[in-house]
Amino acid sequence: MREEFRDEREYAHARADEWLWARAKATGLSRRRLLGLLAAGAGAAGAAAAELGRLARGRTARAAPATDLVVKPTPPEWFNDFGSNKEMRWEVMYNRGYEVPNELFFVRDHSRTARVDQDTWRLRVEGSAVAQPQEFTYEDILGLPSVSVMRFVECAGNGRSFYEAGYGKRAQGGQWKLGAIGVAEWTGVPLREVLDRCGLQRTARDVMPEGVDELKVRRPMPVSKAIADDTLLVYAMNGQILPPDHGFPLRVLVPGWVGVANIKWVGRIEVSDEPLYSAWNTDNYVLIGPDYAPDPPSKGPRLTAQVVKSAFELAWDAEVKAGRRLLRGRSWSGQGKITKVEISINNGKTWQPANLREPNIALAWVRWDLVWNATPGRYGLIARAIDERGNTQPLRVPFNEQGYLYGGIVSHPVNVT
Amino acid sequence: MIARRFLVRLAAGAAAMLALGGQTPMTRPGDAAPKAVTLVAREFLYEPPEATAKAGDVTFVVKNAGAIEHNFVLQDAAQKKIAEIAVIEPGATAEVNGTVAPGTYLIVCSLPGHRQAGMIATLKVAQ
Repeated sequence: MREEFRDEREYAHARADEWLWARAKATGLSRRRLLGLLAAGAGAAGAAAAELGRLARGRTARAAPATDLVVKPTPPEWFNDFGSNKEMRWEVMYNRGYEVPNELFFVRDHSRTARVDQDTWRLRVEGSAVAQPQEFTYEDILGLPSVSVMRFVECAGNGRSFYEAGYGKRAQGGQWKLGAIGVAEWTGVPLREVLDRCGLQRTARDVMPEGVDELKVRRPMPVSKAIADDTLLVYAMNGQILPPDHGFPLRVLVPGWVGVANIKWVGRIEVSDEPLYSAWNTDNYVLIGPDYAPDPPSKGPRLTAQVVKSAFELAWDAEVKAGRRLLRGRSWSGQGKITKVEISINNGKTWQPANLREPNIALAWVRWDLVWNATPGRYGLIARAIDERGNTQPLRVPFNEQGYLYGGIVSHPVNVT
Repeated sequence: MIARRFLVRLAAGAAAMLALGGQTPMTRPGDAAPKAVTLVAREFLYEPPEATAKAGDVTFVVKNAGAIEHNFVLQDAAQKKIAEIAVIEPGATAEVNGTVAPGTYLIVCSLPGHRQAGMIATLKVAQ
């Protein structure tokens, strides 16, 4: 990695440029034409992206039949299958790079992947806190100033199955282990750019993006989060046009927050000077349980930022040959950069620090490793991380009915032969 | 669960036999209507959209024939919850007992957006 790439902003800019060049080459846009677009002044990169967007048409025509729950192939070697939800198997990430490739990225759909025609699609921004409600076409969006950031997107229920392991009581929802997370490089328009063009009022309080999927999934966030530098309207993922399963043509990226906030297939954004609510922050994606009080109109505290978690790049119930092995894994937090990771190979009796590898980007993750002289036997491997705010992974997490935010330590079963 | 479902089916069959004039030790006088209400849930509706039952204890048997999770909530006219199955996985059948008085009830899927997308049915309870 080039030295300047340790600065996240430098890295993001460089990658955005690389993405444009690569797309230009792949889609036959001449170097001269791209340079012309880039030289045209403000918004030129967006115009170039718009050109690429046009060339990308036809993608939906090749999509899987609309009856399929998800569009991309999700073979069992890569994913655990939960119907419309596909969990990444962690062993596929062993020794891979920083991002999760699009084809391996987990899928969480509330119903099925929406198939959206980019020509008829519109983004409508309206509500009491915008002076000029507006509609944007796909090409309008591609023409706006853009940035690229590395961030995770993680389902609020990632790790849910460990509530049953800890409490003998199954929480409602898909029984994920730890594979409902991925880090990607997301390219798009800061949401603030769009809100400003619609005359965002000082009285604005909540912003609620809504999908065009059959359930119209929607969930509000405070305006302070909506105008953050890295809260984006995303149209590209890891340098490729955003795939249908991940929200084509446009999704929201709300860094650090629970996955449901990152609305896919967004088609409408309500901006209000009153607090906004939806079923996704009153009935679901709230903490309901003996340790949590109702917070009307929500049934419990509403979820925002993710907690600290760690995962080994190993199969669940891994088989490992005895000898000198390099244990690898990743840790992340929705509230800041990871500063330390400790590993226990004896179910928590003793701990040793893991080596953290660059890059270590806040609200994405850090990769770590540790040499292990594995001798035959059954092991429970535990990784425990701490972030820059002192958040860490406790032994137990209070139970909640819908099984969200499992940030406790996890004992990963390994058999050494 | 399988045993219970079998009993439910048996009871329904027995009631049908009674309606045809048959006799069976599993029925009691006045048991002419089935005490089980069977519903199918899928994206995004319940079948039948209008179910009927007789007042008293009723077993609600709900099959999820869809591809995603659904649930079952029975509410009275005042929106009070009478019975609930929190989650029914795709392909699974679940059941719950509830006591109902004569009147009209609502059956909804309370997962976010499902009711608005069409997962709402009525239950009419006769004396």
